[in-house]
Amino acid sequence: MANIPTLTPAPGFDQGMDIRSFLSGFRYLDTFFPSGGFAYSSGLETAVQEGRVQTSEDLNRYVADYLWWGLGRCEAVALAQGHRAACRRDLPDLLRADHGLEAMKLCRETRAASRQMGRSLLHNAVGSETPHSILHAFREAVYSGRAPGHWAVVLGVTLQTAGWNQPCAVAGLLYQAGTGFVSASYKLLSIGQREGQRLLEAWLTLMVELSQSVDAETPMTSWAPIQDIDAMRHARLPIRLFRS
Amino acid sequence: MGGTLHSHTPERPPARDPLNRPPRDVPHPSCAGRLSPPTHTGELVLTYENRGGKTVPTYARWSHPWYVFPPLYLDHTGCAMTFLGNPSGGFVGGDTCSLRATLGRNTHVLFTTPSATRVYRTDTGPVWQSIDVTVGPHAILEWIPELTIPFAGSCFEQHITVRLEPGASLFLQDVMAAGRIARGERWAFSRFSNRITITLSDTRSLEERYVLAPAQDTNCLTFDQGLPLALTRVWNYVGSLFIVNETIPVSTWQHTMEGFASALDQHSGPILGGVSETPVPGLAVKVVAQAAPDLNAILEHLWSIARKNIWNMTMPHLRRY
Repeated sequence: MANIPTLTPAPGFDQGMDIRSFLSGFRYLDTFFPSGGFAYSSGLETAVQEGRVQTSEDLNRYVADYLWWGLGRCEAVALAQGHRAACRRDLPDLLRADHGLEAMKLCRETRAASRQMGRSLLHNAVGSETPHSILHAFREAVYSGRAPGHWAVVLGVTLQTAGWNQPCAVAGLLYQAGTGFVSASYKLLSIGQREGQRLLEAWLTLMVELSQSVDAETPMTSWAPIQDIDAMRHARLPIRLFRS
Repeated sequence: MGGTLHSHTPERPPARDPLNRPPRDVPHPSCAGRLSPPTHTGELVLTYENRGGKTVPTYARWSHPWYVFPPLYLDHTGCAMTFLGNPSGGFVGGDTCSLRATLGRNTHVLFTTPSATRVYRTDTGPVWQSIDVTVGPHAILEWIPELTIPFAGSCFEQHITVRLEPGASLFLQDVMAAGRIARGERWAFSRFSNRITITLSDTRSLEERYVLAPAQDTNCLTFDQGLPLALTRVWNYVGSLFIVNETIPVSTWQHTMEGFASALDQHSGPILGGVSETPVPGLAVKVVAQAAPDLNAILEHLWSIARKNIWNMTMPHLRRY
């Protein structure tokens, strides 16, 4: 291996998060990571086909509504609980968070998508871990059927293991969801990449606010009836590009 | 004020609150306190048994504002249809009402209310309602209350907990209005908190839980442009429906789900609904509607499909009004 010189940080460099930790966690959120998220639209395909989302502004309101009332209060809390349990190396608490999220997921397709993405993350993220780590123990629990292994909870544990703090991990979850919606909208709507970036920019304020306010001590709640209905109706669409 | 059916020694409520309710003298932060009207702590305890194929109450005790009529038998199935009445006309701030019911083996109880549950402006603290039902082996619980209408400035918290023992069945619907729609009042309440928990004997569960505080969150359904063709509509009613039984064959669920989906798609009025399989063996339906008659019609239709497919029963005539 070449002898790489050590670089001196530039003046003002913020050492709040270790760069290796940042990149390690960022890898799990990147669209190249094989979590399978590209296959799901979280009900957006139904909303588009049935005419509830037709424009960029419709999409903006649809996703902002979902982030604020659904993901930001349910999955984000589950992630925070998973992150907290990982900090404490508390497997029973981790399993409670996972089962709690399972109970809240009333739609079969949404539930299956979350489980599949969680398992993919577990499969790809555990490799370099020590056999006695909380991530390893959680993977064993999921593989043995003692836990469903939902995406948000697995991501909480994985990012905590990578060294991310809770607000950053929550922000990562929300950002990954936002990019997922934008990515799906490119296939479903006549929205260009520049407009997609504008939408992501518009949601950042919401993501920041949610990531700073999510509390692992609060119960999971969810109020997104329109999006829930869209997710439920997806299985009956005559033509489908996505699996949810 | 209160009463009993089938005399039993009245019990005093335990000193420690087993339901872990918030202290009544501490108003919820989102419910500003100004006046102190009379409030009520109502408790209703019911026990049912199957006697010769007919479900009968073997113990009943209640205190105001609950009022319970003797059960009606509307058909030949032995189902005990029980009206849960509130003579005061609605909840006021500080009201705390609990219902604890135990359905014995092979019983069948249908709970309903004679009219909508109105939650008036709460100036002294939140209204708290707790429903806790244990459904015995192979028993059937149908929980079909009328909708809840939270008035402007009201603060309401509800917990519904149902425990299903092996073979037990549940049909539960829960509907809320955005407010007094005829007055143009939408999402004007202070806070509406709802939690529905359904647990099987093996601890698997499903849960619906939401907390709405329009004053903090501006609007509870910002994405409510519901209909195709850009017809701007608003959804004024939101309902959930759950059917659970761990022993019913998968084919029956699939058949019932197909029936639900068709009914939701073919309903002529402005509604939007979906159905899916729940994390426990059963189905969940979410539906939004613009008008109460449409919502009532579709929910009754879904109920009739469930009754026919799952229990091979026809619909009872509830004689509500």
